[in-house]
Amino acid sequence: MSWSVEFIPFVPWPVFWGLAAFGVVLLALLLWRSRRGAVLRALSFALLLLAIANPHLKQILSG
Amino acid sequence: MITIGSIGFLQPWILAALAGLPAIWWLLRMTPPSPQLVVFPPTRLLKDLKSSEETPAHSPWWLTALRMLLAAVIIFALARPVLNPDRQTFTGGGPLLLVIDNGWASATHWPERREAIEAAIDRAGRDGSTVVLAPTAPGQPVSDPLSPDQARERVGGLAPEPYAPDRAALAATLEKQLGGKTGFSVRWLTDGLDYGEGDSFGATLRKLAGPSGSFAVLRPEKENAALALGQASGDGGELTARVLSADDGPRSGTVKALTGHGEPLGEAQFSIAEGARETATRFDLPLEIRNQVARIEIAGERSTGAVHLLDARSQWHRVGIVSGESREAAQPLLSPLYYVQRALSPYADVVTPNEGNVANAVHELISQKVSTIVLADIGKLVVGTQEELGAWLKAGGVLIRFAGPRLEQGGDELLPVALRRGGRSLGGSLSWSTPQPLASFDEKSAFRGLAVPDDVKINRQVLADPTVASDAQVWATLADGTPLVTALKQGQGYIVLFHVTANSDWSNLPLSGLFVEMLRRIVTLGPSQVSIEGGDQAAATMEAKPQAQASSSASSSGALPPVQTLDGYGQLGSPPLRAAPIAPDKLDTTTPGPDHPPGYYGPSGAARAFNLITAKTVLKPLPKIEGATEMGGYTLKKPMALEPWLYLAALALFTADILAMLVLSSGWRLRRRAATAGAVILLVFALLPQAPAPLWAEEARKGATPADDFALKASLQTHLAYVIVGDPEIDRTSEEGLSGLSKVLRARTALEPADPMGVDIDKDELSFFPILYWPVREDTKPLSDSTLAKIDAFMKQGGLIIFDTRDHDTELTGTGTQSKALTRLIGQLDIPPLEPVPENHVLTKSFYLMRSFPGRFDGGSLWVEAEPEDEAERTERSRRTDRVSSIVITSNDFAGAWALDESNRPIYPTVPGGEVQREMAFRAGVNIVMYALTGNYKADQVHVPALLERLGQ
Repeated sequence: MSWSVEFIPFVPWPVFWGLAAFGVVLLALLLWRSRRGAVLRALSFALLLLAIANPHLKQILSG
Repeated sequence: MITIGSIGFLQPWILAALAGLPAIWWLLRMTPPSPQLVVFPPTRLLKDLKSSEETPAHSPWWLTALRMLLAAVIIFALARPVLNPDRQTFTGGGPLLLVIDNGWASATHWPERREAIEAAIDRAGRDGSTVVLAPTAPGQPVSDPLSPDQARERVGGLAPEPYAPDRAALAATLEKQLGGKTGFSVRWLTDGLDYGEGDSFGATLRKLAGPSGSFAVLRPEKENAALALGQASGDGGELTARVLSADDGPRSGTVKALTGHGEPLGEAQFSIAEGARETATRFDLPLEIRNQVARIEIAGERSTGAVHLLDARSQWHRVGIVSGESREAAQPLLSPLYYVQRALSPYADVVTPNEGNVANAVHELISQKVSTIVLADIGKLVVGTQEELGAWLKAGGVLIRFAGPRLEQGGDELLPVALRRGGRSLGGSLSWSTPQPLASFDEKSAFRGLAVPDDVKINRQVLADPTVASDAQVWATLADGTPLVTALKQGQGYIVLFHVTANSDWSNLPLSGLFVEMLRRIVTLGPSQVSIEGGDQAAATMEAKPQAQASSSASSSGALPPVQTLDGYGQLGSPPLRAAPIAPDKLDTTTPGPDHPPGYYGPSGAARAFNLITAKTVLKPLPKIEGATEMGGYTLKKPMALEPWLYLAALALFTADILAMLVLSSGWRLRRRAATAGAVILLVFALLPQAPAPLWAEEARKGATPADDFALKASLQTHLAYVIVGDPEIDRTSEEGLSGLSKVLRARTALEPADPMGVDIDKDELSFFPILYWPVREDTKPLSDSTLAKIDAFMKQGGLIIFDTRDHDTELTGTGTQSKALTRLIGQLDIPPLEPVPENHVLTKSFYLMRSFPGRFDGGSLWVEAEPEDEAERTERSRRTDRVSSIVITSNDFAGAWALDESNRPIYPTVPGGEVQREMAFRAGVNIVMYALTGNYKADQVHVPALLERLGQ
């Protein structure tokens, strides 16, 4: 018996990666400007993306 | 799970986090954007000072709002909202009482109902309660309390029935079977219709639910309300259908007309207006096709109510016609039956026996199972025929007799009234009376409702003997009250006597449209076929059918056995075992039920349709049931999770926040640039949809090129055309001349040319013009090759060009400047040999008979293509152009002679002069135009008398 995580995103994968890339560009700008809160924003952005990726915990029953 | 409106939340407790939003707001105020940077040189000094970090007191309010919204969206997303959650759930732990309307109105959406039933049973299974099934269709038992599995099995056998539910009977059964018990979870799956007992039935169910149970009602959505097809009437030769809706409009759809085998014959659209529940629609079908319609149905509906069956009464009847005298083929209008045949043939199958002998003819017709026999002016039938007809009448035949000179001398037994010997003459030289019109038809007449035209007049008729009592009905009378059409019911059939002839000898009734309508009405009195068995025993035959067990007993009592019946979905099939015969006179009053499902009843040849929806049917929507929870419709909207959209919205807001941070922090300069960029982008977007639009419009308008305009103008009407030579004066004269000639043509001939058109010989298309007038200029230049080719084609394809040298030169081959110019112009054209118009040439007689063709000048001859004497020499060209010369050359200045000013006065004087010459010039013009348009047929036309004379020999 093992556990694994499966992602069933709400949007198609290409759209998902597009969103991620867009966010990365913006966050990079923000970091470059070294604004306060950039790291916090990057973190929350990643969390939101994770929510959209819709992870499922999967239990695999072996044998 | 909690629900707000149509949104449910799977994790509602997360929503509590919304309470934390004010806290977020407070936190957010702490992190505003950086202040604006302004270069201030003395600040350099301050750099050396020690400074502590300062936080501004405020961030812009909209940024705070954006972040608050972001937080709220994330909270809502985490609460997992669902749109249209599954609400087929209910509370109440008592046994489930499922009341299912399974009458005709639930058939169309039965699958959805089945789902709702199964959902309810599933729920009962989860709750561990028993299920009582109570279908409302009459004659179906209420089940004992069943386990959900048994109930599911039982529901599988449940189907919509082709008649209305009987809720009152079910209420009685429920009270008897479950009387006294309460606490049921009552689910009433209605069909949305009130059959008059909706309220009281609701009260019964409420009592069963009691205070501890629950009571909910499902009713179909407005757009799924049952539709029904009412009485179709075939009056006035049209087929109309009444469409009823169980709920208020607007509804629209299609009604289809089908044959008995299901082949489509026609369609009609219907639309029920807003707030109405009924409409009528009409089929636009030719009569022959209309007669084949056996079934009308609403497309897309699958219920018995949406099907209307038509029976033989609205179909073809077979009519036999017999007359006393042999029919005169040479004078059909005087034949006694001509009008009857013409009147009936669109509505009935008219049979004419090949038999001169009346007795044999009648026998032949009866053996052909005609339903109506028309006898025109037959005085006395032989006894055997009378007996045969009597038996046929008893079986339902309709005998139509017309009076006539023979009947005037005395009739036989088969007349509705005894006739007086000798007729009655109205009008005429030896009479005071005048021809009589018809009186309008009274209510008892078979012709009631038909309009009586004023111009129908009766000149002569046979009279009933007033001394002999008779129970005949009078269907039509004259204005003075004398019977005109009398009828007598004999057995199942009728004898109808028209007291006038069937042709126009005695009256003009047979010429009127009323006659057609009267005959139609009479013919429809009978069945479509009548046959008799044996001598005296006359009865409508029942064609032996496998299911004749019931029918044989029924036939003795005259009841009509079911032949084919409709099932709950409106499909015709063999009748169920329970179906019983109906007495013919009760067909209109019987309510369809398990014993009498709708369908066809009676002998298969002449079965009568028995429909669920009659002319009186009105559909009433079920009122709101007191004390019941309304559970919406049957069709389930799919639940939709809103979570992904909320996450995406949060992401968008988040991005907006980051952008705002970037923009705000980089100060005014970037902001201004961003504003400019934004404005440019907005401008581009604003202009995008508009900019191309005018271009497309331009394109559309440009679709018609000047060449197209020219072609349109030239081809929509016939125009005389002239070649624009470039000299304004010549061109004006050409135009004035041709318009003068056009006026003359309009006034004198059948040709009505429009205003003349000028043609640019190099550019314009010539093929629109039959005639081209070409004044030759002195200084004309040779034509280009392509123009020459065009002119050549024009001439070879049948065009005619009038070259006018306008120089009064008598010799074509003269040495004048004009002739040289002409040679320059057309010398290179392929022109056949020319000759002056010879005597008897078509040009001299195409409209006027002429010898010479003067214009402004007289004396110059008119040159045309020389006509080869020998047939063999006729060229391809002359054949193609109908032997019309493609070229006419004159030197007489036609246009000058034809030119008229606005008040139709000539502009140029004629030489040598005189109005006779001008008239002759116009005649020359008319002849040339006629020659061009009509070809050579006038060549023969003038010789017609001679030809006729020769033919006569």
